[in-house]
Amino acid sequence: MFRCSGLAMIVTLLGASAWASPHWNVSLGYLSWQETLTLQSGTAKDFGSSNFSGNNLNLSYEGDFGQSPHGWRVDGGFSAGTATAGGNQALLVYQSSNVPWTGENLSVLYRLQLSPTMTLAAGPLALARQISYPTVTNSTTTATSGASVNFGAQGNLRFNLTPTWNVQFLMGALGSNANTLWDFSIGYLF
Amino acid sequence: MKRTIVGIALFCGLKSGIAHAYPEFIGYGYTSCLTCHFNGLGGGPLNDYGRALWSAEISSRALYPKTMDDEAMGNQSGFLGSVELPAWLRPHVNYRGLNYERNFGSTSPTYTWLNMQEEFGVTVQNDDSGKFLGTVTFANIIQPQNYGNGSEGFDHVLAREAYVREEIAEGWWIYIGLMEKVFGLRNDDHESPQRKYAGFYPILSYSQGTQVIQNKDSAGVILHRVQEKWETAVNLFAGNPYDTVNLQAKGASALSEIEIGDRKRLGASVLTSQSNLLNKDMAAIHYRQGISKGSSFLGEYGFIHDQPAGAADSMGSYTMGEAMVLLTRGYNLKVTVERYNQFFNPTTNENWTWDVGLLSFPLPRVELRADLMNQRILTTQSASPDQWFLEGQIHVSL
Repeated sequence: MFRCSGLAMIVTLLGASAWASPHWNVSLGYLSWQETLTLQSGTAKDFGSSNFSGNNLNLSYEGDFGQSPHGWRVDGGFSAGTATAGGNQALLVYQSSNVPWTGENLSVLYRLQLSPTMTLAAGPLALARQISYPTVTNSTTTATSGASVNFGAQGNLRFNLTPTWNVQFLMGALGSNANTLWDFSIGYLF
Repeated sequence: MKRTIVGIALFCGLKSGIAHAYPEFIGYGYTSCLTCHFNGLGGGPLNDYGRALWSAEISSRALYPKTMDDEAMGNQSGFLGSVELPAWLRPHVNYRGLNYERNFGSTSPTYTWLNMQEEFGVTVQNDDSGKFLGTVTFANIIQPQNYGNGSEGFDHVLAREAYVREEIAEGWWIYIGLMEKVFGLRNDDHESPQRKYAGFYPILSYSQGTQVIQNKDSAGVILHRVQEKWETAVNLFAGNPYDTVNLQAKGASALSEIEIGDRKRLGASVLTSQSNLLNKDMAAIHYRQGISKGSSFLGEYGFIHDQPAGAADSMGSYTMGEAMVLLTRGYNLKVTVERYNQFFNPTTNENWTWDVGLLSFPLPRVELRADLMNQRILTTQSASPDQWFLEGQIHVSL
């Protein structure tokens, strides 16, 4: 008695197909990634971690490869947040927190429409970010991390909760002295 | 902050603390747990319909001949397969084993095999409608310090769950006995912050230098009202008799869920409990939605207010979001993101877990899982490297 009828499900799917691509999507999300922190003081060198977290505003446009579930998507956006660096090194003492950063990202993705309401996408990712780590008073230790422009790959899963609103889970890997990136966002199709 | 109670978050804690409910199955159109479980709030042994559903709709039929239809598979879903037992007797046996690799990908990974669940039990009902029934599940519960060191054995078999249930009027159900408390989505992962820090995790704690164990189930009464478009449950509980007296939490909880659209359910829960060592108050809202056949989205956000005896209280919060995608019958992709902070302010640790996994039912009665988990702690104090876990899990349910 609690089960949907097959008819209801068909109606749902037919209704959903009306909002297939091409379309724009704007999303607001929370993202984080980690970079390898490099500390230098004279000839001494040490390594730690730097955790980035913040919010991003993304705009995407997507289309199909003909009448098929396969398609493409271009994602681009801006992000800003803070980073926490260091604190667990063996050799050089360095720790800073709430270090502001800004970033820009661009992805070109292959897109697979799993159903009218679910999309799986994957492809290369470029992430540029600007950060300047503070120096510690009375210390010669300087800190850098990752790369100003980094490249990697990402995969994401988008669920359309309504014809306009959606949620997206994203995981990615960055290449240059950085690793896992993830992002959870809420989007609006138009 | 120094606390008199320090919960030790063992990777898998005590075994047999698993809910085994699948609120994700709203993707198949099953909105109420009562459809498949004797316990209408989810978890525990499956009823006949739930067994048949697992065989005929959820699990893969790749290993079955094409000549065998779903109905025939469903007819083999009894405890003894197609051999029919008397309608009043429904035994069950469950085993769940987990192999996990900690620090996956590093130069020093560690591997552990855990027998998470070794349970057996029986449900006795007056007829196959189950208007009146009693069920008991015995579990082998290992002392947490014995995990993975080869010394565990059947040294602590006890009744984990035992209750009687009656449908006292149409749509009204009452449960009396030892059961999981009513609160939130019954996520099948007891390691999830959504369950763990909410008190649904068997905890090994230290209290004044002494190890104590807290079970997640509690003796009590549940009144459950189930309608097609909504349900509400109220739970009065008095603690688990197997717990040490100081940990026996008494209190009350309630949960309501309402259908706001086709396969869309919005719910809210509250819980308050008091024990000699800890007072806990929680509130949560949750949402679940069937996205397309077999696929679903779950979300829950909650507050946890803990007041340990003799220590400062803490107000924290958690978030859980999950996407499950039916890839093909019996095989699902599952992505879960979870966040927990003990103190509800922007400067304390945020514990994040991202999990990408395969949840599969290759055969009736068999569940296999593979999960890759990334754990990151975001804090203003220091930055530590991510932790990675690779898990494989087998669950056999007879």
